[in-house]
Amino acid sequence: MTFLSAQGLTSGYGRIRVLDGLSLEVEEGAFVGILGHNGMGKTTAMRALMGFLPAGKGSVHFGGRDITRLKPFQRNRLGLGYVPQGRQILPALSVWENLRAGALAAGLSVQEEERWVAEVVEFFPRLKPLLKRPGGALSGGEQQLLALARCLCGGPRLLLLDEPTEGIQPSIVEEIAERLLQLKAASSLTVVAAEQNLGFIRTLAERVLILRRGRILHRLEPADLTDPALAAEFVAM
Amino acid sequence: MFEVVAIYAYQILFSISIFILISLGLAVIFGMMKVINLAHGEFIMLGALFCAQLAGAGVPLFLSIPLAGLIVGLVGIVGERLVIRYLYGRVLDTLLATWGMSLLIVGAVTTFFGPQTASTPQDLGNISLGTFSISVYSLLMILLAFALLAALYLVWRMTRAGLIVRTTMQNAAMAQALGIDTDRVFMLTFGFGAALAGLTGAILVPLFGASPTMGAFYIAKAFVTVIAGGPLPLTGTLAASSLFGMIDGAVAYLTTSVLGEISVLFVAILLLRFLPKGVTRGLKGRV
Repeated sequence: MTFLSAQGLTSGYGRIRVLDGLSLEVEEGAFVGILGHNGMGKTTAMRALMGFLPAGKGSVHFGGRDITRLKPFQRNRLGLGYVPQGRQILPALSVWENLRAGALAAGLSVQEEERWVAEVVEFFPRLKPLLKRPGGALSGGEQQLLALARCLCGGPRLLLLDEPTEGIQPSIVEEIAERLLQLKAASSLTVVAAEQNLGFIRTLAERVLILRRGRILHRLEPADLTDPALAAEFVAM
Repeated sequence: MFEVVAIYAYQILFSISIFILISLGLAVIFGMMKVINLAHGEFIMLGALFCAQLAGAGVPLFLSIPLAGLIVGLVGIVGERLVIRYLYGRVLDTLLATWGMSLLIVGAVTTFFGPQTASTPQDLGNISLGTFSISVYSLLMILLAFALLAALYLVWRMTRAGLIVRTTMQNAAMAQALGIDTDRVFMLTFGFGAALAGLTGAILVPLFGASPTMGAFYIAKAFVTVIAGGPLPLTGTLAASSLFGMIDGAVAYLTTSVLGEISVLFVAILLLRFLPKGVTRGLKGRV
């Protein structure tokens, strides 16, 4: 069953149109990678799916509901989790508070919330010794893990990941991939990841969409990405 | 000798508590929300006016004070919905808009309530210290000022509501992505700041009365305190209030209240010359 879909979606910044009829369908439980060069609209697509950019034409559906006109916080409450490019950690809040902030909208009591956040921390052992530090004091990789953990604290049904490996040390990229694989195995979590990192997508994605000039140009199998000529055509190497 | 020390301490604490009270609402609206609220003095004035009206109509003072704060909070929410909410992040525009609001409020109050000063009696009496006497009400006011600041700090740092507000004020877009209805948070936080200003006016009315133009007397002091306080709105407000209150209290006690105010502004200028980011600059990283 289609879980998240966009039909003919246009969006952009002011009068500059970046998405030009984006259509995609994501099945429940799937891991879909979106590949594309810089400037092809990956981040814009993620921001439009999350509701940060208004849809011009077209529509977005999630879990059988038309969410085209919903605000980001309403989409989050329906189960859309978003890990933005650049991570957007709250620098003056402690790591623990950043995680709590992720759980705020889940409608838990304070005790339940703290227990749940502690559970998420167990899943990210690297964050454990950092809980009292300000989020701004973490390394880029640690922040990326924190951003993912914070998003999971909201109990999302679908994760939108915008370039989760950008500028991150390889050991943490591996850790992120490992966590995502574990999550996929353990639950029906659906993931849509915009990336330029071929290896990351090849390891995780079941389907790969190639984004060019604001629309989906190709659908590939991850195995296709091993063909260097094909890969070079779609992504910066 | 004891009496002189006690009266001196009282004078200084009194001064500090006035600085705290008049800055609290602004610490929320300007310190946390970054809205340059030039109507802050008018929110204080409205609190004083409503409190005087309620008390004049026979409502007990201890009820009139919180009620007046509540009404000003609602006035703040109306202003936020009609004007301010379109201007977040546009600092200069908020300055103009809130200036307009302040003129409107002064004009409306003068038209409907007249230009005279309303006063509210309180009957808590005095305690005498040798040749001096101190009003019990002003002692209560000192306690209330510190209690309000402490309560605000605890809410801000320890509660879920505080975390929601801190998250929203740091990064509203990310807060949205985490499921927080930021539009509502902005509205309620602005209303809360306005309510604090109104509460201040109401607390001060038995001491200083209420008149339409009284806001102008407080606004500069409030801004100087919050700006000198720096990036941590509440800790900074306490630090700056203590400093300015001490100077104001001491100088006013030894000379005149006019000299007290002049010395406060003089110190504030020096302070901002050498610590332009405020006294809590070095503590940034914790909000």
